[in-house]
Amino acid sequence: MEAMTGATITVIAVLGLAYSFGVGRALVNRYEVARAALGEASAQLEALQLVPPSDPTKAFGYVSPPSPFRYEGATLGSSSWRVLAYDEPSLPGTQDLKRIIVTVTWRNNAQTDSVSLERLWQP
Amino acid sequence: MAALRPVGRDEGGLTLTEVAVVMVIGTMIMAGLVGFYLASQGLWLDASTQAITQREASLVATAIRDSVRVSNRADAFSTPDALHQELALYRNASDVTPTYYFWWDPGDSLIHAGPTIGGSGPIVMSHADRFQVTKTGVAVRVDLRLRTATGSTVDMGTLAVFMN
Repeated sequence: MEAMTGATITVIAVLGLAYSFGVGRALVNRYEVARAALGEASAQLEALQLVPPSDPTKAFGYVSPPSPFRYEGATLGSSSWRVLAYDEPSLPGTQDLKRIIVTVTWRNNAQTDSVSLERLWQP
Repeated sequence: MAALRPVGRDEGGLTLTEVAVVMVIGTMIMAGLVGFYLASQGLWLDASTQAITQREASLVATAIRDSVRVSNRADAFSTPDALHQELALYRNASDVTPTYYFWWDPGDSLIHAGPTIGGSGPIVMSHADRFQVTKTGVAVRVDLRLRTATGSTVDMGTLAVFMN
């Protein structure tokens, strides 16, 4: 009886340990794509630096059409940005700055993830 | 007169068969444990090298982005092939010689950076399969592929705008 109990506990412990290793490895793979997505969002935000402030794509309320997010040759998701008004408390009015949020959304192994970067611009 | 003790089957000890069975079961358990340990070790090593290379790819992208932002213009050359290029950054518009370089060294397959070609060491220790640079008059786009110590690859791309 004791041997059976000991064996059962050992099997459960070993299986749990093996499962935790698998979960850890999957997280590393998940963060691999997340880092690439962060680079994509950063590049998109940097590219918006080149767009003049008066451009319609930087107008308050603008939502860009999604563009594909590719990683290692495969399209995993999409990237887009939207422009919101930012109310700076020390300034009069409610639309003091443009708050541009770039969001990259992707799906990998039946799991949906997203990363967002934002920057404030003068209107 | 002493009583006779029956010669018995209930004497202590193990038969050869019992010892053999225990040894076979023990060997099987030990083989399972060793296999599990080796598989875990391999998985841990693979995950660790992958994570290290991911961090290094991010580091290269950040370093290039920071350097491009403080520059005014750039040149890009294919050396030694179209998959590997050299990025030369000029701090000011009037500069005739680049102030900073990023390049792939075919001698060690690593990405180097420095104020002169060959003057500094590699930025990271992951080998680069690809280091491609696309430059325009206003920005630089870099796409790189690093290889982990266990052979898998990590892609990273960045774009930076000249702000000087």
